[in-house]
Amino acid sequence: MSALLQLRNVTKRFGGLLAVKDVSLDVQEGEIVGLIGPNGAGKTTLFSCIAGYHRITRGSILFNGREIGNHPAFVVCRAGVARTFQVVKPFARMTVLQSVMVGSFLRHRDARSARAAALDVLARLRMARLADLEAHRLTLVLKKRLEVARALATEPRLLLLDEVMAGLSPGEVPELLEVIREINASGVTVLFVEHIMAAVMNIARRVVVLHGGELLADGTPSEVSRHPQVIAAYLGEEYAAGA
Amino acid sequence: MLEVRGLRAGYGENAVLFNVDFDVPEGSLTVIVGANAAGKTTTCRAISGEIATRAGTIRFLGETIEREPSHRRVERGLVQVPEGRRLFPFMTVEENLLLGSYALRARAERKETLEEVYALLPRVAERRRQLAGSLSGGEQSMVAIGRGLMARPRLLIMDEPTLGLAPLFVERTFDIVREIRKRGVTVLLVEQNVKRALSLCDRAYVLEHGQVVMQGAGEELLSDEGLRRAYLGM
Amino acid sequence: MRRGAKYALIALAALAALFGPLLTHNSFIRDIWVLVAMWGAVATAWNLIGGYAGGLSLGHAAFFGIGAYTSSLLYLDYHLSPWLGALVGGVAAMLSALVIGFITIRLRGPFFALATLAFAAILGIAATNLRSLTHGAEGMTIPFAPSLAHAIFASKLAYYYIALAVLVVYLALTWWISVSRFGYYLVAIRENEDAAQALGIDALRVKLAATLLSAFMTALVGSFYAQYRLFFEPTIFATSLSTQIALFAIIGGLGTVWGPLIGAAILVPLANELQSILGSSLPGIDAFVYGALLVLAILFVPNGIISMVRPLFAERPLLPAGPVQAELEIEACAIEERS
Repeated sequence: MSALLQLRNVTKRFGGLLAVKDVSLDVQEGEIVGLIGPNGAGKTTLFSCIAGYHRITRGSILFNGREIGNHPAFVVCRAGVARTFQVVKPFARMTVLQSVMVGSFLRHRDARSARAAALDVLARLRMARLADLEAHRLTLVLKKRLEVARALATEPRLLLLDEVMAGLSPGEVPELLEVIREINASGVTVLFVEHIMAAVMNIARRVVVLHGGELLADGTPSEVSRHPQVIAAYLGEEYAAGA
Repeated sequence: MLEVRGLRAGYGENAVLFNVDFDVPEGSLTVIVGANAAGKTTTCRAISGEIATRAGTIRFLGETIEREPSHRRVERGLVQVPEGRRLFPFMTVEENLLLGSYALRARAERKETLEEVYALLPRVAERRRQLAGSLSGGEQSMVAIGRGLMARPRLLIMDEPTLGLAPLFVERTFDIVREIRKRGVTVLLVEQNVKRALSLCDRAYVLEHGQVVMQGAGEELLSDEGLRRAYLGM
Repeated sequence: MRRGAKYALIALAALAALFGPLLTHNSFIRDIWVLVAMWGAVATAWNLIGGYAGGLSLGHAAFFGIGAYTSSLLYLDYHLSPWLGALVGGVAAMLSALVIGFITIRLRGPFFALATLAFAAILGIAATNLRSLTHGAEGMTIPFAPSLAHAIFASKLAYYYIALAVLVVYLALTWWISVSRFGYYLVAIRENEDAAQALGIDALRVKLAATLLSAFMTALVGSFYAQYRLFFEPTIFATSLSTQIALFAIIGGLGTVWGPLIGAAILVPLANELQSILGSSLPGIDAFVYGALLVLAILFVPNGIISMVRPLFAERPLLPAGPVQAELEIEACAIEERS
């Protein structure tokens, strides 16, 4: 059974800067995989390449057996890969329900069934009560959840979450983690970029570490957190050498 | 010298610091470490006044300063060397340094301070007439530190001064920190290079997700398993 | 507002629209009715791009003029009935929209506006210089030979009811779009194009479709104008005409079904009144006052006149208008979902 998402030698160059170097990894259907790495490691660039916001310089990205590398973002979404943004991009003046409908319209052409599907997603994410509220009025936590709801409404097989915990207080993290777990349990594969380590290690079954654009480690959370090169990347070479 | 209690701060809707408490004793080298996005730079900016705080208190030399604008804090002797150096590239090294003593208290002794800085940083002295933007990364870092010193600080906050520097300059930076301390300046240092910073300091705090999760003497923390966990989650 | 009262009001408005012009024999007043219906229709067509898609077009006069010139040329030179000529004009406008669309579609904000402005200006210059085709600065004159086939009528009433019919169709079309997938997609693109793309929306294609539709609709009214006035010049491509259209929609209410019509219904008679009252005292004073009133309107009712009326009617949230909607009674930052 081949992996749902296959990255083969993906390389992305911005002029003189090599942001992603020869990265290969697999994501199996049903997994929750965390992508971590120090600042500037190339995580968001890699994400944007998968989602179709950047063209890749070399390599290929296969989803469900088909090439999605270098395809525009909307094509990638239609193929079954949905994403959220690091800095939320709400449809400010649309209501919560209308925003999610924009997502559900992808698979439901007429307004009535799109609306029903959207309400369904909102119920699953415990946001039904907010349906008629304008998006710009939501707090950040809820805006992030709305972003997830919107992406989910496109009925993806793979959900890319880009630092969805950023800006949340420690108290707000567990709730969103629970939401993500439920989404994964319902059959959606999740690949997420995160800085908040406690969150990553808590929920991911597999962790991939990027550093300087290269793949550094790929394993279970406990394997990765004890990996000498990963420790060196985060705490400095000298610390790793001493430890 | 510096007392921070219950600090909350962030950028727009993004909250970054949730409840930060720490002290910087007079004459010490205090270090803040932590993973990216933990809030180290945000902390520096909140103390220097670059960003407004949402809650909490900052006391410097016994006075409450969290509502004061940055320039007032500089007058008190609270000076920051910001992350990424941020020199004025089209001005000369000397002009950059002189701008550092803009504050009234520092301006009076400007000439003497300049000589002191040049004595401490000979490489900077050599290049005093060059445009700051034409210097290498390491040299710019020296100039930035020099500029901070020109304000005659009582407390110098240094935000990741060795970021992106070659090993030689990393060495040099830590030497300079030691020198600065000898001259009676208290230093609050934010660093990525955990081993060096913790071995050198008197006291250290570990930030994780906007809160202080560990504190103690540098050597203690180095041997603590909890340090790795603060960075890597488990 | 209670449902009964709401329906009563709509019925009243419909009656006014149907019988209003019959209540007077004054030719000038009947002219105003025709103009309101006509400009209301054009502004409604513009609103698809300017309001729903969020692309401020300052060159819609281009489509208007293409409609007028195409149907008139075909009528004068080839004796093609203006009814058909209008449709051909519509297609011609769509083709021009395709061309200009590819150039402007990737532009955002002020660059888009400038490009559309340039487009109309270029057509104006072309119309002036291609004398053999367009009679240049002399303009096109259509001889007064009333007949149904010629789409020329002796009575202003006939013109009015045709314009009204077109307006009603355009309003219905706008309403239908606003509750359909197409409408949702347009607004999504306007609010955040990147996010829209991430939800599977081919933004370029959707924007182009809206542009083509808007161009076609505008051109049809351009042909109507030619048949009504029986004379027009290259000034039909003027920037002032484009901005007038945009203003009707903005003052009335961007991105709403009724906004553009409300804007036209208020501004057209107003401009006329100002001209007749003040026009003779100081030359240009009427334009000055008109301009000042527009500025005041933008300052105090930035969401358009319709925003003052909307809360009375909306039962369920409609697709949002341009800038900030009328406030709902909810504490913004205090809402937290605890489940």
